Amino acid sequence: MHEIQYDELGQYRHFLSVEGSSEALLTKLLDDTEQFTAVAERRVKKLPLLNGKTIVNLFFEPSTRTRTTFELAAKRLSADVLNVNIATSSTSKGETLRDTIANIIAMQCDCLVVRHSTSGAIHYVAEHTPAGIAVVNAGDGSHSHPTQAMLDMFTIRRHKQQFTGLKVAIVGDILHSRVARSQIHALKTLGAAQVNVIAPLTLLPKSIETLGVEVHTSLTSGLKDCDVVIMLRLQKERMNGALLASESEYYQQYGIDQARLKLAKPDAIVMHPGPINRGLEIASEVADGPQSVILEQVTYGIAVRMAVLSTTIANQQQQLNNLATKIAETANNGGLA
Amino acid sequence: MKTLIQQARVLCPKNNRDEIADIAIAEGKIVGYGASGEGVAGFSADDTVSAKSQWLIPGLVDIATKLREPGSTQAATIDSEAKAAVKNGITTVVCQPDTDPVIDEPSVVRYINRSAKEAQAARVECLAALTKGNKGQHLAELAALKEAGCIGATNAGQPIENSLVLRRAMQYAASFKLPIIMNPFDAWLTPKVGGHEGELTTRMGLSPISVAAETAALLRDIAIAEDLGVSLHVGRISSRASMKWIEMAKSRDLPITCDTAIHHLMLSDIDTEGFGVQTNVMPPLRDHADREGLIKALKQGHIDVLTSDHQPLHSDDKDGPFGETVPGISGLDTLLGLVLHLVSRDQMPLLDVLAKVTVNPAKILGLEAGTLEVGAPADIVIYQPDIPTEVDISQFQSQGKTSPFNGWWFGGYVQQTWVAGRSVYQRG
Repeated sequence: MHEIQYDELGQYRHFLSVEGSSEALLTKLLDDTEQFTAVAERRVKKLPLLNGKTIVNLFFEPSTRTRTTFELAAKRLSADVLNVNIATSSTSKGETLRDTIANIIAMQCDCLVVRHSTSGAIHYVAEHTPAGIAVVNAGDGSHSHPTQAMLDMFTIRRHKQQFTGLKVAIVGDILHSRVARSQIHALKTLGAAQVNVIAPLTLLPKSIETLGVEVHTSLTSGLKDCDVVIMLRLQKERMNGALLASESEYYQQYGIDQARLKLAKPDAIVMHPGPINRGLEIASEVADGPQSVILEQVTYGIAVRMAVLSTTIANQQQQLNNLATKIAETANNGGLA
Repeated sequence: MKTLIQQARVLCPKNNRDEIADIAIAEGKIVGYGASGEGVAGFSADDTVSAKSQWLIPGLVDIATKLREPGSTQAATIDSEAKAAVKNGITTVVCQPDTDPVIDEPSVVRYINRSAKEAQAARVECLAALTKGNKGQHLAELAALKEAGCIGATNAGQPIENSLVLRRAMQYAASFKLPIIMNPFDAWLTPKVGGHEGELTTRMGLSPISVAAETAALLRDIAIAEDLGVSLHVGRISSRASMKWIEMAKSRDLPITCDTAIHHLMLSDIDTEGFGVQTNVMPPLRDHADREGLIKALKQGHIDVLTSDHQPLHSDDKDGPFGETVPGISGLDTLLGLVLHLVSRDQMPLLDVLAKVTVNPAKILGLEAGTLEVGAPADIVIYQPDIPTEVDISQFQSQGKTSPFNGWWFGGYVQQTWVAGRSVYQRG
């Protein structure tokens, strides 16, 4: 399904989804990230890796964290960055997605970082982008958010060293969450022992268990003995569609405070992709508490995105070089004959 | 014009006829049969066609066709689609009323009839919208629409949310003896675009369309029809759960018939893997078990009619991420080929399968079509079997070039088509 993101050697030329990627490929990305975290500790936080390359952040949906960390990642790799924010409204559709991409490509960039509210939109972008340009998914609909998942995996590995034997809980709006889907695929691939999803049935997609997770509708059963607790952001507009009764009942049932956190292992870490809703899905005492690694996630987000950008752009460049060599060889052979 | 077709294998499901014979056509009708190669007694033809080792079948009646005219002629026209129909052995297309303007007043019917006549291809019959503007609020002028030529009335895929309006619309249609066709969609459970709720929509993050989006509406429609004692044709069933309820209603001798789009017997949700927009249809492709369930129901005779559910689209409407494309595919060019797949792939008897696209839809809609009886209109097709033919969307006669069946192979092709005794298509 995501074949388009690999080159002939099975390496990433785009980064669209973690689903279906091998453990080796994901581990390599985490190892690369490890290298890049060191850059942030230097006095001069810059590497010349992508010097002269242009990266376009094409965001059809608002974002702060993801866009800024992608921008920082690009800048630390010495690339030039262009931020394009296209607010879309369903009522007044302007240019089609295909035309927008064509115009951005005409500006001669090397990489597109794209966020879009429709599932599969980034695949569509990749399908309509010529060789040599990398496409990185910064979140599409409720489908996939692979760099978020990888920064989460990196954070987990930093704290727990390995995935084998880990028990992870993901709490909240699984139904609409591209983050949860990507996390589940990554955790299963990297060998986590058990992944529990915890939510009321209104916020759980049908057949979620086919992804290899255990379904819980109560925190009490779902958090038991967990090493990692991932809280998801709850959009307040979910109260309107009869998905939930009230914010207070949601907090009572699915919000995490210090007392409920005790259901998990004593050394459990608490994660959240942000932005957090204090008092809705997470109590301040937990968000700011010793078990919280939420701000570390943000920091590691930069290194993960550096790894993704450098890998995909380099592989695209390599492919172009290979192609050029092949053409030159053919021409030479022709000349000899 | 008097035509004699010789030595054809005559296949008429209505009379269970399967024999090699000569057939005589005059004044637009079938006038007689004779032994193979010997002509018809007392009949002197102006034109003789040899159909040796070919099939002669009744022209197909397609119960669900969108022609897009009036309204969306950039997608298709009555002319283009009526010609696409006869190229593919379909001699009657039943036009859905969700045109723009909607078929809710006689002038639209007259416009369509006039355009169809000019096309000189397939017969075009109109369904009336049950409610004005297809909006589910006020009754359409069904008496006038019937007088103008409408052969039935339908909600055309738009849910009639208000059950009282639905009940009255059924009563009103029945007052004028208009067959009622309901496409079961629950107003609240059906997103505009999406996939069958299950593993695939969960993984791909597509809007899920539950089976209950169909069954909840279906059960309400059946309940009201039963209460009123009116006949009901349920159009475009996609799930085995719906079939279970329909079978139950049939076993209680309720006057209920149903159809399914042929693509629901060929594909399932797994074909949407990788965001394949060519499989974006409504109702959505259900899962493998649903497809098997529908085939089983067809074999057991519970599905009465098969249709192309033809919905031609402009290529721009299919260009984009899955959720931003318009549901629908062009079906006229593949209906007969896929129907015959059921014979080769699923071992269904040829005459049984042909009945689903000829005599059965004609009967439900009260049309004098779909048969090769003496006296019937000469809407006939010569089909060339046993020559594998590749489906190539660029060769579609329909103006819509969207199909998940591009590259499939069919067992043969349509050689020639007559409507009312006049040759309207001949393969070049």
